[in-house]
Amino acid sequence: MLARYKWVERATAKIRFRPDQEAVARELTEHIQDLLDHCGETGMGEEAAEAAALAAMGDPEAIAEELGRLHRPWLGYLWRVSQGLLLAAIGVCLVLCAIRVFSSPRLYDLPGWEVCDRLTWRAEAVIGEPGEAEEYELIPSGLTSTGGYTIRAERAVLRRGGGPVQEAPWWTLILYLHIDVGWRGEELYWGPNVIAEVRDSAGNCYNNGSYETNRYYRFASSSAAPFLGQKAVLALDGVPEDTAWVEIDIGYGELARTLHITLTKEAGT
Amino acid sequence: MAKKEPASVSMLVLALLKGREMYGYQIIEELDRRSEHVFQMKEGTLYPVLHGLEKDRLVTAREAVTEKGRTRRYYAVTEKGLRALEEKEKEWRTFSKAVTAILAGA
Repeated sequence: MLARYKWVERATAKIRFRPDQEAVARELTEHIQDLLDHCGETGMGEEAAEAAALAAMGDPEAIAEELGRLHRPWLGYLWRVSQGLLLAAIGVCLVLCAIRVFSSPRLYDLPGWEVCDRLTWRAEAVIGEPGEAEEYELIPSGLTSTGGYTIRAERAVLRRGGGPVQEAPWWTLILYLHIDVGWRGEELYWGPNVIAEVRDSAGNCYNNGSYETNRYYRFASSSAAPFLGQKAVLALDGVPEDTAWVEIDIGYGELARTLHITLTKEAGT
Repeated sequence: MAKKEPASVSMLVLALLKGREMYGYQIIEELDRRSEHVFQMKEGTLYPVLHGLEKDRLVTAREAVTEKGRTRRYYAVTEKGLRALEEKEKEWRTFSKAVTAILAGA
């Protein structure tokens, strides 16, 4: 390393704040260069010019003491610390989100519908096996919000047969619902006390799993993941084949909201 | 009773910057020229003085790149610096008058 750079390094050694240290080093280096240019003009050799310039600059240790005392910018340090804290906070958020997302069980693949995570055996009980049963797709449309959750119907399937009380015709409507849980990923507790009432366009009401009447509903839901949401299936047994809509009264910590799902037959069915 | 130092490098630097903004090497040259080679200092010691003045907000600094690609840090005196200079000048004149009076009676 050239003597001039060593001199500058020694003169700035006590400045702990790196941006200040770099700026002062640049300024001192430029000054030495001015001296070297001046010495060069007088016809001095390079080594002699450098020695003369550094002698003119003085004792780097004494200068370092003074510069070190002056350059203690608490605002600069505060800025650096706040930057560090911000980065740390972002890092923690990312890690927490990653844990929430990746710690969820693997995708559970259902026919035509990917459930974001665990839909337990109950879901299979709700959905049942298509087998050779007659079934067709309906196009659902409906959306409601309650308790910070937005619930919408994604898919609807009408299937014939399979009910505990066999009557002809016997149809089951399977509704596939998506619940938007936001970034927090808190699960909507999907239970009988959330579903207040279920009814259809023919004026039929459905109760929860009781076999006293021909019409009842069964449900299952997955756990939730931030941004990915939560999935739920709701099966209504005993719906008329030509059901135009169903309504589900959902209450979650507030007055019940109605999820009105209009069912349209797909073309050709 | 302790007296303040009447003349100091910082006062001289403020006086030099009163007219125009300058970078470190220019200040040294100007000090040498205007004092007719009486005031000479180790040039590196100018920077703690300049940075101290900047910290006290008596001068401001700005960086500029010259046509030759050199980075210059220009210093300019502030309003506060001008007021401080005025104070220092008063002190210096009082001190100088007192020394002159003593020497005249010697």
